[in-house]
Amino acid sequence: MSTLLALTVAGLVTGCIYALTASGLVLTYTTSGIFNFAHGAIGMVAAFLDWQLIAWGMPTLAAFLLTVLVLAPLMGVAVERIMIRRLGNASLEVTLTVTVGLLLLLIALADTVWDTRTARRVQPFFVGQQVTVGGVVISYHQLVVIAAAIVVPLALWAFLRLARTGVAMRAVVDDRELAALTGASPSTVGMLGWAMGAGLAGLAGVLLVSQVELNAITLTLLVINGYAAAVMGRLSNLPLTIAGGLLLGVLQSLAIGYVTISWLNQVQTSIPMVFLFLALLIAPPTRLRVGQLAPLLAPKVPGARQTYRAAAAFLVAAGVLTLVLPSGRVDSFTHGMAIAIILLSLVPMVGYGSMVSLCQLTFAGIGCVAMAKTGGSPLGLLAAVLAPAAVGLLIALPTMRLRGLYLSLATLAFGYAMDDNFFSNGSVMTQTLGLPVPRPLGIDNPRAYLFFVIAAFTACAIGILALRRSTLGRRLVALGDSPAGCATIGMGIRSTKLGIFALSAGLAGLGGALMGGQEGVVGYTDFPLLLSLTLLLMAVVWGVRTISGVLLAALFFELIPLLNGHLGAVGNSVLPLLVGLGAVSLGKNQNGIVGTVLQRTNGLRKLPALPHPRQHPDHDDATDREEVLTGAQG
Amino acid sequence: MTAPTLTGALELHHVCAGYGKVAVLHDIDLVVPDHGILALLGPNGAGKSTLLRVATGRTQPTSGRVVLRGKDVTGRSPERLARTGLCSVPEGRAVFPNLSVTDNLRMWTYRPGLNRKDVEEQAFARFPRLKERRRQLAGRLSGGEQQMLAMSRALTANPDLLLLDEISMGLAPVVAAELFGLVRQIADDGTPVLLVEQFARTALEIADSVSVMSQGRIRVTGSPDEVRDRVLETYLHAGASQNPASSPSM
Ligand SMILES: Nc1ncnc2c1ncn2[C@@H]1O[C@H](COP(=O)(O)OP(=O)(O)OP(=O)(O)O)[C@@H](O)[C@H]1O
Ligand SMILES: [Mg+2]
Repeated sequence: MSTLLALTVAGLVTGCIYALTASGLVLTYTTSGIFNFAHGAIGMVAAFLDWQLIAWGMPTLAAFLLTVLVLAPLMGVAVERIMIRRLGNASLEVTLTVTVGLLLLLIALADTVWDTRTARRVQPFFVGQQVTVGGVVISYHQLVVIAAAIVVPLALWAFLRLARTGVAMRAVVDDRELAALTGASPSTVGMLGWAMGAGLAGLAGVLLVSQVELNAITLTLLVINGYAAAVMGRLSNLPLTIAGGLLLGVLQSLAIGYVTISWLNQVQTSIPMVFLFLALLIAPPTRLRVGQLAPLLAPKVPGARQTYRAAAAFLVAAGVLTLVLPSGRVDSFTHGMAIAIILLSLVPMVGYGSMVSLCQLTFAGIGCVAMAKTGGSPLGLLAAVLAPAAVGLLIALPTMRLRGLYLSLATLAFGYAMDDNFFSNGSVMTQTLGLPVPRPLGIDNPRAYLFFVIAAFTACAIGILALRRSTLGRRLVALGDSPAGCATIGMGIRSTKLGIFALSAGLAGLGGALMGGQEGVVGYTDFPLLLSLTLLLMAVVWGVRTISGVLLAALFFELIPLLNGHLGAVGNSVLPLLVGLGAVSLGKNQNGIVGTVLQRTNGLRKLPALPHPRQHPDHDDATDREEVLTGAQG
Repeated sequence: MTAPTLTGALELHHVCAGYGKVAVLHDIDLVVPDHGILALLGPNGAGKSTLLRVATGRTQPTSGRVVLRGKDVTGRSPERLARTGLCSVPEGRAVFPNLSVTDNLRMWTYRPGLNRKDVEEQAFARFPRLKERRRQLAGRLSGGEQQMLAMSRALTANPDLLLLDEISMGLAPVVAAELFGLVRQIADDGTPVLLVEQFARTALEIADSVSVMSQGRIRVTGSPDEVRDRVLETYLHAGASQNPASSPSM
């Protein structure tokens, strides 16, 4: 009994932190319309800053206040000014990629500034002081957390209800243009939203850091719990979000205490996923919106003849390359082409279907494992496609009723859970030896294998372009243009989208299998979630709507380690720099680099521009006549 | 014909504007006199709302100048224009649907010099229905009540210029008449008004001068009586004829 109580209290405390971070997330999302995937990373940087200030000799309390009230909000303001403001009407994949880029950038920066080899500890507040309530020991630090989780939401609520700026914040969520016409400034409100959101992220980060290790990635990914809580609040309702955070904390704590599932390594990392999926299942369906306009520009689709000509030329060039390439480069090219297939899987999904998966490499890993278990026969290759496709179907299914962002959140939670529970699972691969992967179809000659992978890429690319030209492809694009319009003419939305998502997952699986075949042995760290994010960013920056875009992205991705090798110490900062630049530039070149080039050469079809400022988080489903943010029923 | 005074409350000089590549307004010259009501009439798609978007800074003109009270304000943001005294009630229900009536009224106080109490007092005195429903979300008000709430902004703002876009849309004749009465009163109190209307009859009744536009151009400007006959003609020929019988005046 007392264990139950103790676990519940511990869970509540963690839940308080989730609630705080999740409310920050909701605040930024509703006021600016951009879901901040870097929310956790901002909290992480705040935690490091806090540590640094204390290390420089600042008193704990002063460091805490400076970080939470000044530094973190300033970070939010800077991000809003530099990256977010220029996004305007950007599509989901662009807004999402920009914040994902920010996440990667902040992690890289933290790793550069605070080198990962030094262990850092942040002491909790009032070290060693505690009270005992009803047999449960509660530390003063935990009391501080609980107090923060009570005071902050109340203050937030009062601000949003009573202060004119708070009212303006809700007004901007409701109708941005009208708010401007009354004289309130939507961009100031957006900036304030980001400042407050970042402050809350910082608060959560600083409160959390004494409980877990001070590690950039761990701290960043812990926020996935916050995402789950925010989904419970339908990304717009603060009270529900806070309740979700508390519930999640308690569930997680109880699960860690009581549930032992032999085949799950890390129960706690799978809880947010389970929670998120449950929240998705009970979420009310998103109402389709009418009158949304298509993205500004879309690349022209090459015709069949043009495709075959390009493919033939590409294969000839690749054949020559295969023969003349120095032996030392064959493997890295093969790897790059396998990556290209994984990136290619993003084209139908992101480029045509407007769905964004954040765990494409996880699908690749599943494909790789599937082939390793069934052998390199054609059957094995089939398994490499079908297994991730089936899994993808299961993930996408509960999110189909909802808007696109939820699918991305689901894939993120899935990738997170898989990192800890699948790839490092003893029955999948042993941690020391990894998993041997056969060469598909027994092609052992490295050069022959390179050509095989290139041929596979070409075939898939031809298939995708054919798909785009087909009725189904036109359906997809129509879907992107106007889901509501499609629904009214009776076009099946869900099955079309599901099909595309499964296809993309399958294609990623094929790429993963081919990549595994090149490596021979894969380890449990070969398919990390963060690398999925990097790949997505590369693809979007280069142009995810075109084959050439993803091909360039893959080659570029392979080049980075080479660059790093040549540049030595400087090389380590190349990637973050590129990532950051890429993410910032996306605001301007929303069709990616290839898109910009095409635009210069008139390869884009022009669509009418959007007159209205950014479509606001379509909170209409969630706050259907419910007070915005504060969630009071009207 | 009432010749427009030289310094109007609002002047558009050779304004062209559109959405992306779609040009909507072509070389618009319009002077809103600094007193009275100027009604802007025209068929659907004529560009009336676009003209108001340009005047309020929500759409930037591709060329031409927007002059407010003698000052060039081309390129200013909507919120700055609003704070300097331009009040605009856009098409549709210009209220925040998920905010309560009182919170909506609170937003009206962004116009400098207004405080919460004055706004509520004035709005409730003119529209007692709003007082009864002060705690209700604006989105749950009836269409007429929503429009009253929207118009309460015009009532309390005491602006330098009032722009109204089809305030009578979808309203019962009684409510529409009441709102038009309010517009007349605001104008009589010295605020210049630009009133966009689909339905010419009422507008011609309360307006002091009238401009008619079609296909992105101002076609006729004149007193209601002068325009009355030509309006019908323009309506009938709008779209069919590129050159309405009447020549653009100005
Ligand atoms: N957001 C937009 N994007 C592209 N074109 C637009 C947009 N809004 C309006 N238009 C076009 O601009 C033209 C003028 O539209 P506007 O709304 O200004 O007309 P209006 O005179 O207000 O019509 P109504 O009386 O129906 O309100 C129309 O042809 C319309 O198709
Ligand atoms: Mg209109």
